[in-house]
Amino acid sequence: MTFIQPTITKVQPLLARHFSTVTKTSNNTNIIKRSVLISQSNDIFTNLALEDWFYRNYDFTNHHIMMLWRNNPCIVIGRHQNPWLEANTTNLGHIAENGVQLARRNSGGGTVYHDRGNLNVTFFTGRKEYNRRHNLELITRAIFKEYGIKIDISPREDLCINNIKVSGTAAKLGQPSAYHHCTLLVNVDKANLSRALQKREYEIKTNATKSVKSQIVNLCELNPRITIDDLLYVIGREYMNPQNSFQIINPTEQQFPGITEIRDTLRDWEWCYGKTPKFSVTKSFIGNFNSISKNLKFTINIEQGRINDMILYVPSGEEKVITSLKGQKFTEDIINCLECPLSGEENNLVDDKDRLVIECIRKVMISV
Amino acid sequence: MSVYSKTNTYIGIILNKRFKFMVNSVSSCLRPKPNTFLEFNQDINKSIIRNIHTSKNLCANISFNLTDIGEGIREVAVKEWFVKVGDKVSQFDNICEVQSDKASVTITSRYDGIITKLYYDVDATAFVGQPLIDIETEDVQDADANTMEESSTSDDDIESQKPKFDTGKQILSIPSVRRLAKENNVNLANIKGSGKNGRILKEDVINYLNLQKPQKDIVKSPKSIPVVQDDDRTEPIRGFKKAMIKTMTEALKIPHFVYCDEIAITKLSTIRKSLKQEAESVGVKLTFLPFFIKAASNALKKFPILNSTMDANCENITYRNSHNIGVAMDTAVGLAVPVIRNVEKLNIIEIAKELNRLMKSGKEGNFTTEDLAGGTFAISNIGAIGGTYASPVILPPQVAIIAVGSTKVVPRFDSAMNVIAEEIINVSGSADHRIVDGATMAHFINLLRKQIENPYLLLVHV
Repeated sequence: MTFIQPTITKVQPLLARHFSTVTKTSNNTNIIKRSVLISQSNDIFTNLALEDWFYRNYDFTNHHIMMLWRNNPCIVIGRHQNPWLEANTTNLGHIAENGVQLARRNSGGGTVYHDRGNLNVTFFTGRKEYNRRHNLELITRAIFKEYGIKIDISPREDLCINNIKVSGTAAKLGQPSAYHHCTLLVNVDKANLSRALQKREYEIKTNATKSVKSQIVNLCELNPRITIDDLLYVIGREYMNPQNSFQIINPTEQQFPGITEIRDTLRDWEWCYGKTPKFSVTKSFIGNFNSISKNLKFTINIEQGRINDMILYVPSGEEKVITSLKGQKFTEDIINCLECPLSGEENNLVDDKDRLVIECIRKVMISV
Repeated sequence: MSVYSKTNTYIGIILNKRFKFMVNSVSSCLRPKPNTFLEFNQDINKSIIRNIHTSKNLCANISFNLTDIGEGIREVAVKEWFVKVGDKVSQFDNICEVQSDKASVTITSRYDGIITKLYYDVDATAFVGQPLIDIETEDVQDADANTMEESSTSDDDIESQKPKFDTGKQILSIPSVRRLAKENNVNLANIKGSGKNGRILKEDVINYLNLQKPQKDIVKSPKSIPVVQDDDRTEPIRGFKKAMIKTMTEALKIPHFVYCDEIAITKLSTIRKSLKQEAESVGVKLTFLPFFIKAASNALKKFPILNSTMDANCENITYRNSHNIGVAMDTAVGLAVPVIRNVEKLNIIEIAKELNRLMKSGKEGNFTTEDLAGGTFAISNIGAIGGTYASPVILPPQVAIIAVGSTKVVPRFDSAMNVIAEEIINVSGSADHRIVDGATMAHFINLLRKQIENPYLLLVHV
């Protein structure tokens, strides 16, 4: 599903094929202005929409921006990832005070957990000036100067201390702009984090980007002086031109025309779940029919978040394709609902449609 | 069904099943014949008009390579296609999304045209520098770097071609449109673009000209596209040739001056012959060139400005510590200048060995990017083919280059005014006159000559 282009017209510089290098010097006309914007919103969708708005609409040739933002508890998966593979989708509503939301961002990379103890930093530049390492070095420099903590940059360009991660990085490159954003674990609730990122019990086969799990540590554990508000200021100050000041922005439609549309798209099921690259889920279990136990396996093929078909493998070797679920949005509940009755347990949460399917399966099983 | 004739003239006789006509019940109306395109005008009772549409196009089917993403990335996963075969795209439209480690990159089209082939499926691995899609374009577009041999991985290659502004205002349009405007003396600032982001399209220029001079026939293709005849052969410029076009255009912006001299290599010749067998025993073919390279390196120690690079804005000179001497050679793929690194640390046999390796790569046409990048000085051995004095062209961002001609035996006078046979070679040196003066170059060549004419000096300076 494509974004509907916001109405603002983009001021785009002439796309010169080759670039002369531009440096931050004070005695010529090519000074790149560097500002720091702090988002007032704590909603992941609004902040992601704001990031996207800047990426599509702003001209970064002479003006680079650093955006600092924090969110209420949420899981953010990468552009081409599978939410069912990465996150504990069924239980997200029960973790943390008000539940954990699920969002899909536009940049690549793996899954991360955000809450108010996590600081997000986005570096906006023109496509040619994109330099991940440079940005990460700025952060490590700022933290070292202020707190004396030495942070290393791993080969995968994550920030770590003694090989334990304190940050994850991702980027989006297009024409003519690009951005690199990263997280910084300052004071994140680690228990919630691990509960939200739990692995699944069933097998998922997919080509989606799989996250690389790593151990993490909060910066406040290494130096109790570090707080998010403090860190915000330290990093921002390191980045911007000395004469500038921080800008606090409130992402409203008035100031950023078109942002509401972007936000709605990002919130939509079609984007968060429907954009998942096609995958299949396989679950094996033992079915009880008329007190005979049989080993069963079923595979569900899911495309664009919706079930394409479901194949039941019966012990005799036959494959029965069940298509009555086709077109339904996939949820983990479906697997549980199917499994329980087939293994003989009663499940009162099954609705009529599913019940019909289960009856079909049962009939199939008995006929074998 | 459209028919293409040999001369690329496109005669459109289209079988169109959906006629736009209203059948009149009057039987005087002619029935449409099969295989003809019929266009009825308003008074269908009277006549059937058959239109044949001709236009002269040069259709180019261009392979659009995956351009360098940066960060040394060589391969990416194709995650999503935004176009399919048969779609019409404009320049800067999104083509696909690829992912490399943590970066998600949107690839945009470099040309206007119709997609004819997608090289990869979703989730396949695409390689930088390899074809990504094929586009059929209507116009011969400005050939630009869509290959990346030589130039993109080298940090030294800062190309600063100034964008063509008509006025100080920023105007968006593709090079072929600019050319069209220029040929018709149209100021692009006066035209309002109707393309994406205010881009000026070809139609905008044509419409503007139509308004200004209605008599002038501007639908004719621009002058610079040559009339192609039957037995001529046209091929798109790709690869090394393309890189050469770019490099040479850049290079000739540098104000060159040339200093030439003659070097007597009789003594060197004797030494080389005596060392030849020794060299062969370690599997190395020994020619004059390694001696020249070493002598040049020694001389560069005394005149480091010739081993420097200048940045694009002419604000800083970087004196390079290592002597990475490029050797221009004619290879299977055209002119290439592979580099022998750190010549100041190598002895003559080692230089010869490395030279052999590079020449072998040249014959096979398979240099690595390290072979071609990072040169600080260059030598051209045009003498291997022939010639005496030359006017070599500097390879930006270097500032000097020397060319060595062929050897010949000529009569010369010795110190006692007797005529002797002397084996001589001509050397020509070019330098960037913005930072190198004639005296420096003259001294450099003198020092080079001194070492070659008295090869024992090479022993001392090793």
